[in-house]
Amino acid sequence: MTALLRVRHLSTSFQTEAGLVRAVDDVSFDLAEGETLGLVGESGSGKTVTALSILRLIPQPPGAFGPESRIEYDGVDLLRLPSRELRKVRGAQIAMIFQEPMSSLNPVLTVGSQISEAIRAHEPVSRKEANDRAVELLDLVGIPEPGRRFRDYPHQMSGGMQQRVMIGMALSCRPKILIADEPTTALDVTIQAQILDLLLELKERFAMSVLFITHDLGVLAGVADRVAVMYGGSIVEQGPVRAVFEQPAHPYTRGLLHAVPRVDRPSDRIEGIPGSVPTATAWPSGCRFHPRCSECMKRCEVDAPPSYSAGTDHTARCWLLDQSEGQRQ
Amino acid sequence: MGRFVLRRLAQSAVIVFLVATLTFVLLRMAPGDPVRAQFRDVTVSQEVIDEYRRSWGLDRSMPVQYVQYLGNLIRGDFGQSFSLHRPAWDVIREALPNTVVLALAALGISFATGMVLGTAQGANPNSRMDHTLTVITLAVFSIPIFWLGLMFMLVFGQWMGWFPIGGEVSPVYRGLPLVGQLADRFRHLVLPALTLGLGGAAVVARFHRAAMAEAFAENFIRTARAKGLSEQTVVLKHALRNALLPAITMFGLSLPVLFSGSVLVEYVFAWHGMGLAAFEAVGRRDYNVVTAITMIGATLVVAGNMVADLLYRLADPRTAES
Repeated sequence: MTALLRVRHLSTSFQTEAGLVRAVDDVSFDLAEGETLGLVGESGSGKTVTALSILRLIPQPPGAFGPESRIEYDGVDLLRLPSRELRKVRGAQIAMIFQEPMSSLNPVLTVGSQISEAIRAHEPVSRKEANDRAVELLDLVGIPEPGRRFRDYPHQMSGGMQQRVMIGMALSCRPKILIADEPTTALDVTIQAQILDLLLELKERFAMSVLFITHDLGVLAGVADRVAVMYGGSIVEQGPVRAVFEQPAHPYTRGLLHAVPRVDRPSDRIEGIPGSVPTATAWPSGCRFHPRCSECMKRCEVDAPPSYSAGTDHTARCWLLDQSEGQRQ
Repeated sequence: MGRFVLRRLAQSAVIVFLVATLTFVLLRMAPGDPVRAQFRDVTVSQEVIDEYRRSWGLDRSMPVQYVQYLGNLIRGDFGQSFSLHRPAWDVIREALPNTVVLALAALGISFATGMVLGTAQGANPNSRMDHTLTVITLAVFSIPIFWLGLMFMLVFGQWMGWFPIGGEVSPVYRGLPLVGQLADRFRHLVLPALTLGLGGAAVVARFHRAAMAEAFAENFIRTARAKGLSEQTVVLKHALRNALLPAITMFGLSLPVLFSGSVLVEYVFAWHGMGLAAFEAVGRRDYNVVTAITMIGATLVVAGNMVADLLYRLADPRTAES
């Protein structure tokens, strides 16, 4: 499989009154054609900023990308593309859906017009044609009576319906890549499953690559081909979903997996990871996870670990994987 | 929608009635005698004064006067002007068109300038342009309106000689052809309209900047950009429509203020509008003219608010159903 999207050394920082916030620090990953990559981590780990950086949806200023950062789509670096050219990628090649469908839709425009305007932004079709296609898309994402619902305003729909509209809008120009930023987090549990099923079905039908962002490892197991685990603004472990779930190489990933409640394993209590996610204004020295790590060593407090191989196509940033002589204490 | 309009009309009737009552009470509580106010410079005998008082109905008891007053108002009869010896309604009929022209021009300047500046600032918050415009709008907002009017007269009227410094038309107005008459009216309108409109423009710009900046922070702006829309569409279609609500509220509030006439601007530019008429009528204790102007003003206030509410419903689908 060839990589459709290559993210290399992505660093995204924000100039704030509290100082420079390095929200994303040296993140690299590939997204292959037809692949679903799950990006998982706690709140504040940099998942959303990573996703927004891909389409340059970070306001600049206060946001800025590091000089090494590259985001290659189809051989073109999106970070250095003129904004006119970038607009042709947004929505048409790479589309995005967001966490809160309610606030992501414009409250004063009908849902139909918000879909058809996405079509008309990229294709030379008449208003009538775009509207007809918007109705078809509403039908495709499972909205009953699409012809009538076309004229609804967002507030007249439930959260699940709104997210279906967002999905329809994202698919309107048949993008190659769909970035889904916690698309089910704001929804009821039963609706979550429906939206996930819809996404999976449409992914196959449109042969898309998906970057699926979530804080919920349980969701990823059924969705993703590969997983990247983010902590403190960088990717600490990535690999095929089975390998990461069955042989997690990073203590943080192990902690996350322990924190997922399971019905097949009786336990009195769910084990969490002690402490909380550090803030991006003051990352800990060395390995950013060391203050919360149960296997913390001396060097973890001082030096940041490089990426080590943990199996086929499986890497982790942890000194525990360092095989060289005399390093382990 | 129909029920909403009916309910608002009923509320408006109550408000207008209360204003009528309050006007009656306050005018009669105010010091100064209406009859003596007409003869400030001449001495007249008590008999003459009593005669005037009888003919104006001021000799009867307050409750009787009040009932007659309400009866006249309901029939649309504002009575005679004490000082001008003609129907109070005639005074209104002459002053109102002047005020309407000035108010519309000032409203146009306020909202056209204010919305453009506010949109530009809100779309680029904290940019150099934003900071510069903030300083300018705050400065204009702080300038006393009569002083601004005087400066305009001095600079553009006296020194440059571009515009006349007072009145609605030139002395030669009647002799001009139609196009010349329109041009003459326009030239007279420029300075008072600018004086009255610029302060409003600064206020509109301040509020609209805040509304635009708020709209820009919303998630749906990110969605619009993620769709690949041009920045122009993002600003003018997605952000502006959502930022319109505060502007509509301001519009509803400024409509009556402008239509009831700005005393200061009308006085400075000798513009014969409602403000100047009110100023003179109050000085002369001309009860009927003051009442007429107040009633027109009150009607415009409630009408302005109703228009704003209706616009609100058009702009925001969420309020339309409740």
